[in-house]
Amino acid sequence: MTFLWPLAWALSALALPVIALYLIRTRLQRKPVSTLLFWQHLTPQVYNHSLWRKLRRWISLALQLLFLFLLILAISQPLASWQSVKPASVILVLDTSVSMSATDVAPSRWSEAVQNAERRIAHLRLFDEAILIAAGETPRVLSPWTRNKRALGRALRSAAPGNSVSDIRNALALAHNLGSQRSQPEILLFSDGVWDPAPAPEALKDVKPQWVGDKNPANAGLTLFSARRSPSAPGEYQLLARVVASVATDAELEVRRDGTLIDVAPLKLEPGKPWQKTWDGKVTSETRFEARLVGLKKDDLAADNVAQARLPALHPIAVEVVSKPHAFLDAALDSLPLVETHRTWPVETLAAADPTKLYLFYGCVPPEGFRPAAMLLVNPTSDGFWGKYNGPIDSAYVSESLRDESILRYVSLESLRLDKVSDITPAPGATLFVKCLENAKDKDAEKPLLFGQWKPTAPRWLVQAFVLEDSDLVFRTAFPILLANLVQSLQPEDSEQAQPLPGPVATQLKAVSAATSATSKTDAPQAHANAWWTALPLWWWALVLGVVWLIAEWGLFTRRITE
Amino acid sequence: MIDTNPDTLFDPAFLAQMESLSLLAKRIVSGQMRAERRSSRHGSSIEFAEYRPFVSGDDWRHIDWNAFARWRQLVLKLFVEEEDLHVHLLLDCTGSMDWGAPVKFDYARQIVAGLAYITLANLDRAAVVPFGNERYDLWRASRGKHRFLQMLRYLAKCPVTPQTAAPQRLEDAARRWIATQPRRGMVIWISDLFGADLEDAMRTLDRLRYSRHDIAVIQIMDPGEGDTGERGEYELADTETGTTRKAIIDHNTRTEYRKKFLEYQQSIQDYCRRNQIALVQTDTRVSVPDLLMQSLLQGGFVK
Repeated sequence: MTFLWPLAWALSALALPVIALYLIRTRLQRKPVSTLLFWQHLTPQVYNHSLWRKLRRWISLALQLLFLFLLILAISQPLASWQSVKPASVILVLDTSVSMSATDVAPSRWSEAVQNAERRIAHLRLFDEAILIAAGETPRVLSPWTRNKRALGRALRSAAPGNSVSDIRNALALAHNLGSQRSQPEILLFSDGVWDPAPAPEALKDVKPQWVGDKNPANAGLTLFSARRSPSAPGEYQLLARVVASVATDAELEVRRDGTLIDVAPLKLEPGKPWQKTWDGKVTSETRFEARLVGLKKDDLAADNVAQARLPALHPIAVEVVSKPHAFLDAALDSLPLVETHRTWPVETLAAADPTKLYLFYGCVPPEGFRPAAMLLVNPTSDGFWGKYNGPIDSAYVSESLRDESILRYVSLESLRLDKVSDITPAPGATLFVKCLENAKDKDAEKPLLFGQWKPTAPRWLVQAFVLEDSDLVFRTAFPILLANLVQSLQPEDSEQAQPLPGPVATQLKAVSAATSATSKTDAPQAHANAWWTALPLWWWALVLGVVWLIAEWGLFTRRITE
Repeated sequence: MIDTNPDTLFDPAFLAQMESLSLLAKRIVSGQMRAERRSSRHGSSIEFAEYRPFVSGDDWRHIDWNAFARWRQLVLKLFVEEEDLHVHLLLDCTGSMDWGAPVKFDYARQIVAGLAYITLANLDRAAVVPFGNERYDLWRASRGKHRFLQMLRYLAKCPVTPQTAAPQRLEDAARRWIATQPRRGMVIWISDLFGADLEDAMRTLDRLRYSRHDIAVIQIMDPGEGDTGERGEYELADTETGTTRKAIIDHNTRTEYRKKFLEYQQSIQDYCRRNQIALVQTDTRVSVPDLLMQSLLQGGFVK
């Protein structure tokens, strides 16, 4: 047997004062009596007491010395032959999912996980090292490799559960990467197993999960609450709420608009059957919506009971038309709500670019270096930042259209008749929204018909490689809708939530199957409850034993009881 | 520690109580006896005792001629002789009395003083015998209240017997006292009745009875003597002999001790009742005047 601190055996000298004090203590107390007459008759009884009474004091001394021996043994930190004397490397991965805030176990899953981690940290030996990782949406190292238990404790206490479900895969990958720098690392995962998505069983192969949470949590919560404006009818909005429950329960959903109650929906929730409802309305100003679940009998997670959504205000979009007066174009723009049209002609009179305006060039191209935030070029017949003009093409038909793009929503160009199309080679990076084929050539020679860049991250531009008069587009509603989509896309985002909801996985509060199946044989989530005492160090138990024994000894000594 | 100062052992308040107690004693005895006590011996008083046949040598002046006229037989008319009573106060001075709070020996001396005062106030003779301590002279029978203060000083200086190797036999002490041929009278033994063994006290009473004394006993106990006290392991030390004995006091021991003690007390009661000996069993919590009053009222102490 090896001792990590053999100097502790010097404390064996404490046995001498223990024995001395014991001998002093065991001296009988002298008691004068007037006569021994009656005691002489009791003598046989007095001396025929049980063996335990006669030996009790010697057993007491032996136990005191045994306690001293155990205490010294614990302090000297013995290592059996089968135990490694090499420093251990412990990687503590703490799940910070929102589900860790659940209170199905008192006081919460998070508190229990932190306590488990603290116990493991307290169990570290002097030469062991550990690292602490918070497994949130993105893994974060809370404390680098250290032997300092206090620093680990501080880092542990600084962590808090997040407001979304963790993707544990990245944290496990990081733990494995960090562990690869050490020999035989020990990866401990403190989690409730509520993850989205679930990691592959191989990812949990070398991981020792320390599960927290109840086996049958009871929770109901909002998993979706959104408000969005209608793309076709500016001002109209649609509100959508979805509620999920892990157990059958009744509740009510209160919906408020700017603090005013607009609906109370009674809910009869069943596990696995989401409840959903939509509300329609019309508003152009900024509006806040709030949904609140009330009347739940038992609710283990509070984070999903309230959701908020905001509709930003609609603002008029200014459209700068750079063209000669065009009846169809003007009519199409006038038909769009929340659009203010201005005209500039000739192009040389164009003022500096206004980042809030949509520029529409028809029959001309923008001047060199003119790059507004958004513009539509109708049939540019020259080279520019949009691409290279190759000349006209006679008679083409639409071959492919990206209908899923937001600017082509409700725009049907498949049966469009095109008498004349400009052959333009798009600039690199441009998206080909609509392509066409010449009637006389093969399909391989597709030409871009509508292309450009319409992402909000860069200046938006769109090229229409034909003029309205050379097609039957003017007889269709497609062009006004296209213009409406362009204008609508310049409006702010539809909806935003003040605080994102935990989501259906967190609301269910159920451990994902991959986690439990990979570890169910040894470390089931509910197996942690009766294993707390195993984490306590030996010296702690020795100390408890000693204190109990001292109290008992003191009680016996003061009362001099021998029974 | 016993008290040797007469001023503290017998304070003025105690003496004042003795005075009132003596008046009570006079009222109790005035209806049935005077200061004098009737003796079993025949004498020359005016109270008729009995007749007996005339024998040669008898005083012919005591022949009852009226009886001769009736019975035709010479008889003598005997009268009860009147004499003063000798009260022997036997004060137990063995080492077992030097124990308790207050010390039993101090308590016993106060009782002796009280009884002596009552005796002297009734014109009887009181003697004090340091029972078990032959080294200390006895107080010979005296009469008259003027001797009382001297007696108090005597009692205050009276010591207990020093520690001996073996417990003193009370029977031997009685035998030695009887050997001095004390005048017959009343013997009041003030003691805890703890002798060499549990029968020693009764053998002592037998000897006193056989010497044809009227006997009364006041048994003094300390409240702590009937119980073992706190449980635990002790080295018990006998105050009389210094002998020690290790003992484990637990519930069973305590119960058994109390049982033995009560049995002993009962055996003393039975013995005294069987032999018509006046007995008062008391402990040191009872005040001396109350005890003396109880003794007077109970009877047996006054004849």
